[in-house]
This record gives sequence, C-alpha cells and structure tokens, in this order.
Amino acid sequence: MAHLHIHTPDIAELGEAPKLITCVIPDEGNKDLELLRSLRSGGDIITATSYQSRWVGSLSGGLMGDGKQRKGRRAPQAKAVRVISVVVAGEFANDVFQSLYDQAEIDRPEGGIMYMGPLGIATLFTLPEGVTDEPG
Amino acid sequence: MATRKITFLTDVSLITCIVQRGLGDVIVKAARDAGAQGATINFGRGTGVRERLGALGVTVEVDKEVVNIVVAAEQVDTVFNNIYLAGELDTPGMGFMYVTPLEKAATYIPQEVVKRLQQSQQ
Repeated sequence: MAHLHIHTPDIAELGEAPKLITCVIPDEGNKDLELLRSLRSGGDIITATSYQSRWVGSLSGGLMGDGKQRKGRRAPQAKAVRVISVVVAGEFANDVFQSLYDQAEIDRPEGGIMYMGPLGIATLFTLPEGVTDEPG
Repeated sequence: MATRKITFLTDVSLITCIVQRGLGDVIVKAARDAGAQGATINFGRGTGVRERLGALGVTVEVDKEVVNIVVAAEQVDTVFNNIYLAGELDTPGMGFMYVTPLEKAATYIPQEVVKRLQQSQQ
C-alpha cells in the first residue's frame, strides 16, 4: 500500500494549539469594526474577520434549545447579524473569549452568541512592515 | 475594568450544512423541529460535484447556503438526522454536512434558567 508523504513547512510557533472563536452579534452599525479594532490593538490574536449573515431563531435565552419539538410552527423572521471570526493562539484563547464577551455585550437579551473550538493547524498572518491602518 | 461573570455552556457542537441556495430555510426548520434554537445562514459558491455529475450537473445550483447550528452534544444526532432527511442529503449533489466539537459557548441566559440548571445538577 502506497503511503503519501506530505512535507509540512514549519508554519507556526503558536505554542498551544490555535482556537477559532466565533461571535454572532446583532447588526448594530459598525460595532463589528469596533470589536475588530479592539482585537487588533490587543495584539494577542492571529487574525480576525467580520462578515454579514442572517440569523433565524432567538439570539438568546437558551442557545442550546430546549429539546422540544416545534413541528408545524413557523420559523421566526430572520435577523441581520454580523459574525466575527477570530483565530487565536491557545494560550490567549480564554482571555480573548472573555474580552470579546464583555465588549460585544453578549450577556443581554438578544445580545448574540459566541463559541470557541479547536483548530487542527493554522498559519500565522504576518503583515509586512509599513502597512498603514485601514480607514473606517 | 471589572469583568462580568460568564456562564459557559460546554458539551456543545457546531453542525455545518452546505446546501443549494434556497434550501437553507428547510435545513433551519428541520433543525428547529428537532429542538435546535437557531442558526446562521451565509451565502457561498460551491464547486466540485457539478463537474462529476455530467448532464445532471446543470441541475445542481452553484450558489450555496451555509447553515451553522450550535447544539448540545446530546442533541447532535437527533438534529443531524433530521437535517439529513429534510435536506435529502442522500441524493447526489444535494449537500454536505459535518459536525465540529466546540469547547464552550456563551450567550445571554436568564437568571431563572441558570438557577434551574444549577438545581438540576445538584
């Protein structure tokens, strides 16, 4: 049986395995950009992006569901949300999670949800010197 | 700055389902029918399977919807099966689905729910 050998370059000195934090917040103007700025200034993350999405369901009050069957009920109206996706080294993951939770004000009715899971491998996202901040 | 207390949810998983555009709501309904609370739906574009399906490939929509659903570990199988059947994922080209384990999740949980959970765990 043939074995496939793939050369993996030394892509990261990330310490603990990287994590992916996903934060879903209501679409409230530029709040996602403010959070991205804050994450960038914190310096502990590898990369963060934000994108628009729509959410169907309740943005709070039992994220995990109640296990009850809802057959026949109409789905609630979809809401516009922003999804912030953050890759962070494992040793900083809990701190970044807590910080994002506080700043995004997840802990309020319809404040959104966030979750974190492990990544198998991640590349570093190193910018060249002299890149100016994007406006906006 | 004082940090607020977070009530984490553990033993949670993320179900990601990629289907043809227009079918995302079918997937969300199936997930909610099985007890899931909600889902995010994004648009995307897919490639790969259309080329393999020959003439049938033209009937497969290139535009996709990506549905993400967070569910409790104990609900994963039920929700997964319901989505699979509702989305007809056993039909070639209809879609693809996978489960990612999560370490923790957080959201607003009303105090009465927190108390009820604490009491049930004692």
